[in-house]
Amino acid sequence: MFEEYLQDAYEFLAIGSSTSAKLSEKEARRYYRGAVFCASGAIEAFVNYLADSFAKAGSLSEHEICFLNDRVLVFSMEKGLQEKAKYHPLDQKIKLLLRRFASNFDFQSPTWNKFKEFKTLRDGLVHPRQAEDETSLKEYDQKVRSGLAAVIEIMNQLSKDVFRKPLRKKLLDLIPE
Amino acid sequence: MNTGLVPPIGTEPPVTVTKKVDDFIQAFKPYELNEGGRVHLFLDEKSKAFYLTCHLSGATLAESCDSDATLDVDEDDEIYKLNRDIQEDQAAYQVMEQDARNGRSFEDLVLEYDTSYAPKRPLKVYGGQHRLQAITKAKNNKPHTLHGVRVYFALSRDQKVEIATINNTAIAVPNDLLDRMKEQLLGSELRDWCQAVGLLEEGLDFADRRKPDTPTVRLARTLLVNFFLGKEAEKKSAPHQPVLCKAGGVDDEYLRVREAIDWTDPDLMEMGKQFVRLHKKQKETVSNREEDSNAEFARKAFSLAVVAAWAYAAGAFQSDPTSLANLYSLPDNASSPEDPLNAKALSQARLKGTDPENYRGLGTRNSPKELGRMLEVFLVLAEKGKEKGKLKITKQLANAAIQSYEAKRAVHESEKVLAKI
Repeated sequence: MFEEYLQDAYEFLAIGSSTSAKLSEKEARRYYRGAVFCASGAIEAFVNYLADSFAKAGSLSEHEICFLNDRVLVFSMEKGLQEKAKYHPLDQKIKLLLRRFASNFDFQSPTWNKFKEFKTLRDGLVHPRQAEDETSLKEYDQKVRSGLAAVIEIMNQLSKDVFRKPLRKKLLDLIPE
Repeated sequence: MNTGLVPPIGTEPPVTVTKKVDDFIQAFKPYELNEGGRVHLFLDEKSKAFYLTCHLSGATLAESCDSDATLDVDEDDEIYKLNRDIQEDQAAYQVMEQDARNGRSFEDLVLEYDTSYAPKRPLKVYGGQHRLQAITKAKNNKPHTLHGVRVYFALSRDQKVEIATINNTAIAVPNDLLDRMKEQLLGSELRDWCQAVGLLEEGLDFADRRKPDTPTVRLARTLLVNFFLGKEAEKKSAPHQPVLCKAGGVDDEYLRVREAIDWTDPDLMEMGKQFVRLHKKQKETVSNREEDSNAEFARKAFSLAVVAAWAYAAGAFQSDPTSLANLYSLPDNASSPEDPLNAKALSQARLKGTDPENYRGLGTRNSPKELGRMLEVFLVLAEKGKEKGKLKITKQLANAAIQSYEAKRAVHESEKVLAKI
């Protein structure tokens, strides 16, 4: 799904920021929000794809596989060792993967900072505290652009570290200018 | 004209030619001129080019030959190279190199004496670049070995092209034919075994090129080598890696395995028979259906990547009868029009996000990674079969196998990196 989500995010951003589409503010926000959901969905789907790959291969420790797949190993006297659902933050899973695969990724880098900003934007939309969306179009445009770029760059870094290959060019071309 | 030179009968070479011949003789002192001998100048009537034949030492050739003969000296970007590229990984070349080190004399290297560019290497090579490369590599071992050369003089642009073309038009012996010839030298055991398990029909020999029903020696060797590699690897912790036997002569791994083979071993015979069964069912099913009945799908079991991976899995499962039974039951689990290998699903499988658009799927390419991915299909199939009974290859399973392979490889690679720190 992550490929389609990235393409969707790019399209929504393009429409939301298009001057020729003559959108009202409300309509433009609608597309920007769509872009945020799709871009964050894309990186989550990609991390899940990696997590699923390791689960299929069984090539990481059980604890790591559980962590990546939102599970945890719990021991009880009655039932012994068993898996239970436990959700882990996406950025923690990404950190685990980047560190595990000997990447020299810099967690102080602009890419990571942009990703964290984007995550804040996404969290604000998914768990809203405000009654209305008051983010200006200018702010949306800047944050979605840099957020989508960060998402693709991090996915590309993960792909290079784990699969030893960058993302397909078609996907890298979706990094907004 | 040099007194050691015999001119061609019935024609007078132009001065431009005789001048260059004299220079050449002066500079290189061909072996034939020792003890008062002479060299003959000839005329090639077709190209109207003058040439002589003589012998020079390996050291001289290594020092003075230029394999980058060109037509357009001034064009830096688009040099029209007059030679085929050297292919050092070809088995025939490797034999040549070994021979050169052992003092082999080569004949009929085709050169032009031309000082108009790169004058420090005036012997421009138009034919025999592989032999020359081998001679060059052996120059320290065998500097005095004599090699026969044909040297042209004062060639026009058209003559250069003609001479270079005729000397680079190799009527290549197919590697599969070379394999068959070499296998015959080793003995008839492989052919006999293939006939016994039904891979070859009685009285038939291996194919000398790729054919839909007749295996090549390379295919049969790959089948055997991977069966034994799989058997040996089951105890190893390193990732499984099927291999392809080299084409064009003899494969070292095959020779190692061959020495230890008991050709009547029932497990080996059974593996061969099961492979034939898979191929026959695959071919029959694909050929008899209306959709997706292309020839590549029909001969999918004969694709070298499938051969290597399937045989490796068969070897690795020798101590795991359930998995082995799952693997061997593949032809029985698919009902027509489904082919047992599900060639279409294999062709559509890919690693999302990274495999390029033009990736042709599993079981087509022969790199180690592709062999590993193909093997993973059989490993996943056998493993899942234990949980869910007899399984078929589906697109989902093929994709899962790719994911699984890549995840295993990722951990293996990262462990290698971390071990160096």
